[in-house]
Amino acid sequence: MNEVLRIAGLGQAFNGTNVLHNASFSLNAGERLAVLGPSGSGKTTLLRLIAGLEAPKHGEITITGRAASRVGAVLIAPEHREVALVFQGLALFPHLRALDQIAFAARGRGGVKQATNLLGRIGLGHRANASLDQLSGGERQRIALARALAQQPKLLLMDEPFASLDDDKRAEMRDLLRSLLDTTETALVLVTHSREDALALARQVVVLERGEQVACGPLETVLVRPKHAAVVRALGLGQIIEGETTDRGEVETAFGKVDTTAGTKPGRLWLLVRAGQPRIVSGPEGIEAEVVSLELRPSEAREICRVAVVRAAGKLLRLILHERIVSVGERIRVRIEGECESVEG
Amino acid sequence: MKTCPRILAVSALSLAAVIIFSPLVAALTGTGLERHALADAFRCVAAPLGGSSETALASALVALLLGVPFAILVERSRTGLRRVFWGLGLIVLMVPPYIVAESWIVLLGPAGKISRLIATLLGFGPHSTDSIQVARFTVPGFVYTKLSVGMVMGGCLFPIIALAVASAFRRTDQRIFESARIAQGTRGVWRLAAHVLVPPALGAGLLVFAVTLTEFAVPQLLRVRTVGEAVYERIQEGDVATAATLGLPLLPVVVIAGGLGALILLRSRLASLAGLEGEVPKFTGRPAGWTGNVLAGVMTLFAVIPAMILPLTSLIWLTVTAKLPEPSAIGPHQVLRASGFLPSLRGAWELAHDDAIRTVLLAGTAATLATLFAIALARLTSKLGWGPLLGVAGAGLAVPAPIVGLGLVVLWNHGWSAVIYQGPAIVVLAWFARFLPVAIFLVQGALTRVPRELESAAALAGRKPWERLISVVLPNAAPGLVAAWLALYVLSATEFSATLLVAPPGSPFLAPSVVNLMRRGQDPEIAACQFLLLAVIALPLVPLACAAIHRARAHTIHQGVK
Repeated sequence: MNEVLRIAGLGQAFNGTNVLHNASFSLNAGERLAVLGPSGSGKTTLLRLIAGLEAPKHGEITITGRAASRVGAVLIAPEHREVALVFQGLALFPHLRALDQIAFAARGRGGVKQATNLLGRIGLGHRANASLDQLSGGERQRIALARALAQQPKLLLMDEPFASLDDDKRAEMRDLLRSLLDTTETALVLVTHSREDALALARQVVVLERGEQVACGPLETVLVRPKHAAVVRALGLGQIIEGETTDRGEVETAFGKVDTTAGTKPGRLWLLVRAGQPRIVSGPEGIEAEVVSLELRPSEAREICRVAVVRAAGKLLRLILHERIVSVGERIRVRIEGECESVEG
Repeated sequence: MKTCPRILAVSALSLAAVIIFSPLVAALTGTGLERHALADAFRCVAAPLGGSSETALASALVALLLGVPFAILVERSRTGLRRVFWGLGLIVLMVPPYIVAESWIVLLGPAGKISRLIATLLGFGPHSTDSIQVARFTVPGFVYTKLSVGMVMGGCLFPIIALAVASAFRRTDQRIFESARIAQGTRGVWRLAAHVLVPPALGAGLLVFAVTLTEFAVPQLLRVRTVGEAVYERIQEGDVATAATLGLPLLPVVVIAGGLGALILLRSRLASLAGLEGEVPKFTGRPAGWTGNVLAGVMTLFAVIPAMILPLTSLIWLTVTAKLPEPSAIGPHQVLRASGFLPSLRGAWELAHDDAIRTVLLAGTAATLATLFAIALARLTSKLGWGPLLGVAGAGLAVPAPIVGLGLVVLWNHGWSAVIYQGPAIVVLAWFARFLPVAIFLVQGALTRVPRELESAAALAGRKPWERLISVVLPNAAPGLVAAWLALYVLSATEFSATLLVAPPGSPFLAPSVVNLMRRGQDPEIAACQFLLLAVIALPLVPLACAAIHRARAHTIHQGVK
């Protein structure tokens, strides 16, 4: 496989504050990577560094085998990197009409003909002469995407591209992006904090938290075996609770003793509680907890999934209610069943 | 890698500094001023400096009283009306303050047309057409006071306040007012409005204060003793060294006031943008009902009375009604004898068409050069993050215009530079030097308003830096750049203090001619010349209006097709 992007020990700092630290991963042609993380975790900075819009403070970036950036220097200018970027705010040119937006990027790569073709492929062939103020939010998203692809980039970078769209439009745009990318060898780096976007589009994932790269690898592996609490939060894999390993090697939590994959070394640890593990129990087993609130969640089946938020020893836990109906303020006994995975905090 | 841009930026900055500050340095060092004269000059400038400060304070207060309610009411009116009201308000900025001052004298001065009419109606005015008796008659002579200078200047400069307040208003998500109302009722809304609008109003008020301090013609016409008047007096006496020194005490006051104003405006802009996280609010509040629209209209009319309605009334009145009793020679021109509106205008055209054409061509050249230079300067410095350095150029605005003129005379009145000094180039140079700081601020503002992401997108699309400038930055900054060019053109075409000193003999310019004529009295030809000056100022608006109409039509047709 052709390696399109390699990042080694990449770091960036603004005014003495590290916004990105020691990011390292690589991407081959045609691969799709999602970069997940909460706001302020350094996702956009990472994209700007890859695009060559900023010079890194640490590390280096290699694009298609050529050194593109190293400490304090942009070695290959953004215009020569064969990289396209869809900005979070789209950055469409206010003075150009729809077709001209795409033709702008297609110059030297098929020009207006290529732009017209792309406009047709994104379903906006009839809107070629529309100015920006005449286009809807979804149409602008498509134009931005088409403009990026008109560059025929080796690497497509997308910064929260669908953040302003509703769920239906997001799904539509994901399908469109997938269909457009399927016909090319363009690699994708998708920055998002939507797990739906990541799961639908990417097969590789990098998770950032406070500028640190806390996970990197194939999405399936990360989903099955998350190593860090940030990954759990980013991908919505379950709840994180705090536990303490006692001298006897048992793990105590606010919701009672739990079985874990962790060793028996005494000390504090973080545990992943997957949906379905917390249960209401009767009798003396379990820990008494107060129902703080009730929530509803849509489920794949026709029934509604009821969730109770319970509190014990000042800690909150969500549990799915199966048959038992509870009310707010009621005191129930809960237990975490099965083995909890230990993750880094 | 960055060496070349750095050298270019340093060269451009040095050139700008030389252009802006060399006349001041030359005026101070090349006029042969002695140390004891310096002390004398400082002693005798105290009273005029007080006069300047008082008029500037009055001007800032008047501008605040007109500008703040204008901005608030007009911003809440319906879109179509809002454009009309803003159009009327901004036109005021194109009227030279000395024409406004003259109109105040004509209409409201002792024996003025309105004041005399009112006095006659009230039964205490003169009942004679005898000029001596009329001359003796004086209604309260408030026109010749510092407050009047303040009212004229405030009336001319209120759009500066209005623009600052309106842009703060636009940057504010109107939902915060709704949440304030929910939390604290009307009192909360007022408190919040004060928090949002006071800093920009204060900052713009300080700018108006600084601009009024540097105004020379209006205090002269309204016979108020200011630093400008003192400087001009010395120049007319031939004591150029003292004249140059007299302007010095004004410099720190203007620099401090202007700098503080700019800083407050910048801080309030940054604060409001931080609140929005860089996004322009999409929810702009509910537009006002018909009462709000009427109020906005009334406020607009009220705000434009001092600097638009009064001058127009005065000029039309003079051109239509007055007749010249006898011919006389004024300056290089033969005054024409004509009455009536059109004959007066025709006469004025015959009288001063050479001046007008010369003014249009050279003002256009100076404005274009300054705009291009400012674009280059802003680009070069912004790439290196040196943009804030350009703020120093603002100090150049504090240099009094006659001193710029004097300095240029000292610099260029040599045998080797005769080609420049004896031709129109010296006038272009004077305007360029005087208004380059304005060009820098306006152009820098226009360029920084183009989102940086657009240029990044163009770079990623393979465009070289100069291609990005031409294909992305300039088209998107075009409205701001055109406004900057227009402002520079108007400032150059109406500049008279420096122009008067540097204009080559036999090549008069319209503004100095008009001001000189105004000093000599009021007659239809002078009024017609003022009309001609206004026409020269408004000339670039014609192609701009045509372009705007064409664009609006194309937009409508396109929407129709859609």
